[in-house]
Amino acid sequence: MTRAELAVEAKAQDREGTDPGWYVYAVMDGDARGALEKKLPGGVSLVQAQGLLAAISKVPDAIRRATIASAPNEVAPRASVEVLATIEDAARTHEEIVEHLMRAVGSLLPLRLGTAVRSPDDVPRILSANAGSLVAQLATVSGRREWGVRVRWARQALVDAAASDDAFDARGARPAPGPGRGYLAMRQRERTMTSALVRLCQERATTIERALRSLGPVKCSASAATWAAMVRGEQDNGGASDAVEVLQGSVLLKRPDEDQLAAVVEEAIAPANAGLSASISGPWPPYSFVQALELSG
Amino acid sequence: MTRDPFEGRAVSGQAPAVSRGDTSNLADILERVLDKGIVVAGDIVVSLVDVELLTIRLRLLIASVDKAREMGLNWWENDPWLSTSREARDEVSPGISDRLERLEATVKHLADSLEYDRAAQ
Repeated sequence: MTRAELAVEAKAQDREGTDPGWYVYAVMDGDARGALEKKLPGGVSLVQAQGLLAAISKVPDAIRRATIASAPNEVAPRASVEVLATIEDAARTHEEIVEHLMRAVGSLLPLRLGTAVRSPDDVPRILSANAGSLVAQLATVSGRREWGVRVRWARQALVDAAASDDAFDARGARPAPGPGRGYLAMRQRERTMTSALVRLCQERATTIERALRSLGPVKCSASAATWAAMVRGEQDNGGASDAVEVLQGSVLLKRPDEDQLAAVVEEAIAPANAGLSASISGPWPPYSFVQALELSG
Repeated sequence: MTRDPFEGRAVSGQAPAVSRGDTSNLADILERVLDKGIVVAGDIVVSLVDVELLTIRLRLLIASVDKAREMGLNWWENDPWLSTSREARDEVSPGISDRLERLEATVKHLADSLEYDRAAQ
């Protein structure tokens, strides 16, 4: 579809008052245009500016249902199986199109679910406003794929490790004469235990992150506040009630390094009987290595 | 010819401590395709094929909270199930906030008494 045709379609939708906006899937190098043009998924068009290409379409129905299904004044749907189904549909639609594009061009910057603009005319402006950053990010992801790494520590094994920790032992073993002091000592012991658990998670996360960095760029989410909340059972621990999530990260790997990932992770969570386990997923488009676009510019 | 960027996704044998996840797993897909730009509202428990449970907090998907407001979309702010505001709660169950506060005060009082008694023993 040409720019002029896109504009006509956008205006027609505006007149109908039903324009859900335009959806942006990914940004690619402008040189990829030739490789892409005959392989574009249905409804997807390319917009070029500043040597960059953006793949856009009208917001697909599957995504529209999950994004603006609740118009103003409409009763918001409850978190339910139906809502989840629309979100799953939207996520899979988004991912399928991004993967289709990545298969055609090799490397791209995938945008997150829900990146939408009012009109195709906004896209060149957004590409121009973000050009420097986008070009640099494309260089970073070029020839690399994203792999997800998630490490969990079995709760009991973690508690056992903390209980044998020197600092915890010294404070926990203090005598506590009298029931009142005994109660306060117990509270103190709980607090000390929590900080020992958090410190062990911190040390292990640092080790794993350093190991991943030896292979490529890394993005990790892990924080003392999160571990403390997980240890106290106040926060979702990434899916397992009997484990604490030590680290959830992504690493950007060149193909020759991909075979090393499992071994590097295994070494970082050693010894095998420490109660740590890891799962690796991928390859993915490099979602975790794309900065948010400045859309309002 | 571009090499398939997703080849090698098949599950392969690994050491027991490191397992290989399936990329068709909804939780993994959501983890990647969602980001801070998403309006955060509501908790959804995703039940996965392997019976793993994952809490994902999301509802409305738009470029950013500001963008959504700009487009007149702010329903989540007033949805009593997605909002913690007193007004929103009371809209659904009049007086619920007062009852909640009284209950919280009672529980706190009981907890304080218990702690005091135990410390005094």
